[in-house]
Amino acid sequence: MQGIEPMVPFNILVLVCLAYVLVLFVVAFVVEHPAIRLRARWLRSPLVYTLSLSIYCTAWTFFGAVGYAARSGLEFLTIYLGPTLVFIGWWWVLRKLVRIGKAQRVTSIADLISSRYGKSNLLGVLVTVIAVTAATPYIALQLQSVTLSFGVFASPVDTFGAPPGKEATALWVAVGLALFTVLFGTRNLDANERHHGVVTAIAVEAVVKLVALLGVGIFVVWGLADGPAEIFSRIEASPVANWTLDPGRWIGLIFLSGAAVLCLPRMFQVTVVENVEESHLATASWAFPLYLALMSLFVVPIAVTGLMVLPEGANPDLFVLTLPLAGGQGALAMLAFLGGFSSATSMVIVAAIALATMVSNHIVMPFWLRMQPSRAVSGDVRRIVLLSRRVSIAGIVGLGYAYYRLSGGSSALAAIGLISFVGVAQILPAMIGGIFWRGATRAGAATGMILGAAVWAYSLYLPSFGPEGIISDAVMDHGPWGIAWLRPEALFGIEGMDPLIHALFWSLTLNAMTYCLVSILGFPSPMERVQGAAFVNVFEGGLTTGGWAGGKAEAEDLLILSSRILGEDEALAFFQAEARAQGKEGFLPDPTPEFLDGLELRLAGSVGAAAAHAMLSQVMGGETVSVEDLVAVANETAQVMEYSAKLEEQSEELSRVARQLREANEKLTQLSEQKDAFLSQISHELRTPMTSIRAFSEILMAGDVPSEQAARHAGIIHSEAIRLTRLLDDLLDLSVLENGSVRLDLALVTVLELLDRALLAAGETLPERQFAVRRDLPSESIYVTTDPDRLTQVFINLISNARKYCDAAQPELRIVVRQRGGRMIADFIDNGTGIPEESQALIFEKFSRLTDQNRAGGAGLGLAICREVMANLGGTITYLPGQGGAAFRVTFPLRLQKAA
Amino acid sequence: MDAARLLPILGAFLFLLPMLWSPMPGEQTGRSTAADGLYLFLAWAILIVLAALLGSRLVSIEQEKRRPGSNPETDDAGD
Repeated sequence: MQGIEPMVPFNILVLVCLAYVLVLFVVAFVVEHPAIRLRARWLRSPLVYTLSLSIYCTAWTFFGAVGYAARSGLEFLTIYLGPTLVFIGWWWVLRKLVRIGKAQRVTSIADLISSRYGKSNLLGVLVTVIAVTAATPYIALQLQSVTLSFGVFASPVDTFGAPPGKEATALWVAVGLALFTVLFGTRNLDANERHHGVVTAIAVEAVVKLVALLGVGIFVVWGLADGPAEIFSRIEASPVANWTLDPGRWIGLIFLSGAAVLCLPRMFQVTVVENVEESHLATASWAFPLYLALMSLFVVPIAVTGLMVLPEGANPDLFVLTLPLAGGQGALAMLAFLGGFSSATSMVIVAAIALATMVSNHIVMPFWLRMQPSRAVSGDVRRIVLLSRRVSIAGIVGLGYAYYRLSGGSSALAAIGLISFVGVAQILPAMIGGIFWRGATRAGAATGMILGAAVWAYSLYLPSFGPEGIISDAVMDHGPWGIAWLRPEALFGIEGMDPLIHALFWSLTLNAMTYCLVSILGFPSPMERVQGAAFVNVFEGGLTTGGWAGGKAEAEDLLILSSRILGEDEALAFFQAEARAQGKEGFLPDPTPEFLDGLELRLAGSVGAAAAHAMLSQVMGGETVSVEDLVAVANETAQVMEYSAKLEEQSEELSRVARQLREANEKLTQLSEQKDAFLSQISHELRTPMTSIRAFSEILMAGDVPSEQAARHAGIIHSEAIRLTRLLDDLLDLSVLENGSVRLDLALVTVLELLDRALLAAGETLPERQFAVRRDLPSESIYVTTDPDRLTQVFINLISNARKYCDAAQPELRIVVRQRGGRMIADFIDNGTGIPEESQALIFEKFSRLTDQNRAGGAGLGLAICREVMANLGGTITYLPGQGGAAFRVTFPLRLQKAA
Repeated sequence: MDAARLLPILGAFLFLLPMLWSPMPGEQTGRSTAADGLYLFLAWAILIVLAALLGSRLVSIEQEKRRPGSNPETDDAGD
């Protein structure tokens, strides 16, 4: 075969790539759309889950496996046999990991390790650093393979010199990938850190690369040869058949790839974090090995044929592309190109998401938290978390690009895949030990990982930079300072081992040994014990991480904290649900240990376990693992557990009923007091104006009064009579509203109009006070069908209340109007001191006044009327705690139907 | 359940078997790379089929256990 002309001009190739990425974009976007997400159940099927696992097969697999097979025969299979063993053995490890991942809302592998060892941030940082160090060259490798495959199309195949704009290609690929990842990986801060859009896009890419590789394979076996029989004999005849099976490498590599499939951050992300349902794992246990088998089925035939057909010196790493090109199959070559492109992009996207989550949760957030003054978590944490993730993604892809530039795209990169595997395998002892051995300690995990990572860096990672790099030839041959037994590739004087296996053996052995030794000698802290029990016994359930006994936190502080992380609506909904579960009304549940645990898990889903724990600790004041918790952990024979679980259930039920009864009783007592108060209030309210009317009319009756004084007296009588009438009107109004016999005049109006009217009318209260009102006019321009007069009455009341009672130096009222489903929500929030918690339940009762009567000037019926009006309008009015001032939330239906 | 636990051990045995009949390095006997490859893929296929059979069985067992509302975790209490 002669030199092959490029089939496709470079710019068309770029267009094809862009179009392909655009398709992925659309897939991800459509899937994220809520309407579609609800309808399409198949999106959560085990098939998509299995396909998303295929990011294990990166461009290193797609192009590199053939090169590997051309160089070392069947040894390339070890890379897929290891994961196969792990997946068919899912009942051992994967199932437990997934269950723990769900129970603890784990967001990444660093989070898993940090959470297991007492939510230690040190370990989180350690795992993150190892993962980022190991992944950087791997990302560089992906950039290199995309750039190389561009090169194949853009220049003749036998001169692999720099095609036009090679560096630029890599840069643009990097920028594009970072952009795509930022757009879809960090669109929202999901409570459980799942990315349906990205996962589905990855599944599509998995299909593309499988089809591409199978297509090339079929073309080679039936197009370039006469079928399997001929291929069989060609294999025997080719140099590939001369490989020898090195037992050490064979076992070592199977073990290594099995470890990597568990520990690679991107694999952990798709296997554990993105898992929707545990039963999907059962399907993946055979479907993923099947995928791997199909991916490797045609590797040897392609390698053998490539060596035979293509000219001497052709890069075997690119046979998948160059064989179809040489055979004149432009379309197939394009498909193969897209397959390689898919493999590279999907790996980089998921790896960037996984690593960015780790960097932001374990390095940026804790650092940021430490900068904050204690207790006060101010500012919008959500925005900061998202921002830090985006920056981290860009940073990680940027690191990959920088590594690519520095290494100059050398061939040394080809070996980097395995080197990177050995790096992440350092996490394995801490992970496996963590889920099976309760005695493992944080100190053990940390020292083990540090030692293992150091050995790995010294004996494998740093030497991979070559003699010009950090470790010189002299050190390689004679050891540092001439100490022979410290030679990087012959530690302790054991020579003749394969460098990779040597590094794997020593780093993991030392890692695991120190891990066990330090764990046995040391003693786990209470927090580690609790977490260890929760992890190891995850299938027994029942025993939760119980850490917040005897909490001193105010529910309101917690609400403020969580609404900054989860978003206001979600936090309020969560608090309301919890309060209802405790049998309470309103938004503020009691800070019971169960509630705090639930809240911590919820926050952990957004910012990671360590950060969530630290945040709650700030509010609560210190860790609170008590002796009782430890006793609970110790006494866990099955019987005790079952018995206590039952008791607990009963006592929980009892305490809930008791709480409800207590609340009902309190309310009844208050109501009866109120009734008495109501009567005395009524008589008092009626009597005061009556007295002055009587007094002044007596004066007038006496006769000899000057006329202007008589007019003044008459005026007083008149205004007192008006006050009386108003009071009686209010009372009448209230009783009509309470009976529900009120007539509503429905009309179509905008909320804007109503608020304008209300503000105008309320301006008459204390007109001398400067008062700022902040509104968002566009959001108010929504048409609603309601009784405008009645609703305006409520608004007037709320606004004039704010004018009257807001005690800030620069009083300010914020009005926020939103539409949620078929309901409108209007929040009135001022910047005063707000209403103390104990009074919040009372303000809607008749004649309840918080301040003295003179300032208030009203009869205390306003909010009671508001409540009744809203009930008649099919809505509610509630006090909204935790807004930094007095805040009322009015909700009402968008379209009020006239009662039949 | 136990079968699911034993499967990876069987797999490891099958995958490590080629080491036994591999020649010592340097020695050139009449070993067939193509046949070795065929053997490995065959073993792989067997494992996949077994895993598929076991997987569907395990899922249905799990679901059955969960339905009566009893403690679904008792299966693991024994080991």
